[in-house]
Amino acid sequence: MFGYWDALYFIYAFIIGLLISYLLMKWAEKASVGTRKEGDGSKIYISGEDQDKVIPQFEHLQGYFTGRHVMWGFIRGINKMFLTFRREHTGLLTDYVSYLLITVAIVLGVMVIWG
Amino acid sequence: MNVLCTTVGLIAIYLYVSFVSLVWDGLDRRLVARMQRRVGPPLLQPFYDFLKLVSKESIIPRDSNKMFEASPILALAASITLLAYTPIGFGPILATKGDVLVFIYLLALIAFIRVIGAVSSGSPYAQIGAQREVIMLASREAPMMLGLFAILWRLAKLDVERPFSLETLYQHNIWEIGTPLTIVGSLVLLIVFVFWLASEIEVGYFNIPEAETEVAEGPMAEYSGRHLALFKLSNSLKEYASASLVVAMFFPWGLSQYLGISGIEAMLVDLVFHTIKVFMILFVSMSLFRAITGRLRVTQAVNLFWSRILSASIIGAILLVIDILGVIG
Repeated sequence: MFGYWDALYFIYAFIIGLLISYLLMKWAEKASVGTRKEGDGSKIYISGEDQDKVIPQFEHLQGYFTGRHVMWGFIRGINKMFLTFRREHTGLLTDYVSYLLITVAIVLGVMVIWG
Repeated sequence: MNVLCTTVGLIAIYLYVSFVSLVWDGLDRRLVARMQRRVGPPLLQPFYDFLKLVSKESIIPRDSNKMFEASPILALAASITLLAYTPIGFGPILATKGDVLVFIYLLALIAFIRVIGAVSSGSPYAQIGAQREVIMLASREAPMMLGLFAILWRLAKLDVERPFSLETLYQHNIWEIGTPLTIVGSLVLLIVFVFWLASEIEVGYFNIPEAETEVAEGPMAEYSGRHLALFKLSNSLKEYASASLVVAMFFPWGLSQYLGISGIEAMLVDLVFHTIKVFMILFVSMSLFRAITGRLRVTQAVNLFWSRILSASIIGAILLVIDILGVIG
């Protein structure tokens, strides 16, 4: 039997975990000095981004770190592979049909050899 | 009765593992300090750190949203759930209720919760850290899963009932097959797993998401006080759980059968022996690795995983496949 799981037991274990960590958090809240949500120090860590400073005519920009950068390191790290794959995507229908034919030939070859 | 046993067992294992993994953190800091000719902190320093963090004021950034405060709790909860599916010298507590896929899923879930907490903080540093975390996750999972599934598939050929159950690893191990190809293949996969473990706990080469000097602790940049304490504890638990997987796959032998004991005593002896083995594998994959390697750039790490470690994993898997097909020998 490959791959099995019991969702009810999973949820049960997760609830136990949630309970333990919630109680730990509550105990820590009681034991700590407190929580600070505003005032000094509640600005984000110094990073070139200042929430109080609004640049005229750029009010609509909320930070310059956008979702576009998220996979940068990934694409850059295996750049050569990406370029190779991109070169294969020529946009010509005959090319795609030939890929399909080659794949089918390989699959058939494997099936013939292994019976 | 069964549910009660599960509950008590899970809580007991949580208490034991959180103690042991924090002790390991202290031991690791001391060992690395000795390698660098420093004296290092006291052995119980992680406990002092935890208590100190708990007692401090938690600062919540102005721009953060609700998930910022919820994610430490969720991360610790996911880590505790992970312990129920972790092999610890004997089969996991919920061995019959979930297999190795649940284990991998929970490991990834902890990373995702960290990412959600980081992007909710509104800090550019945390967002860069979150981005790096996702990229590392996408890179390290492929070779690890290929290696894991190759080994479990090879074990499945030995007539086991549940090939993907983590309990199987204690009934049969990869070394008992004994053919030269399996041994070489398993050694290759062991190297893959040492690298995977180092990247899972983010040390040495792979200390990329939390690069302290570069992005100020990355995802943890805005966390302080008890929120950070819970994250640190969750990380320690994850460290132990992921090392446990490697130990169970490659070094599953227990002491109890040689000592001829059974029942609760046998479980305790195996648990302690398992912990010693976890410390040894963590010594190689964490302390030594941390002391002798420096941080890579994220592009270099991605390249390392996709071009070298994945190829090593493929070679290991192919060796196991050749062994099954009986082409050679």
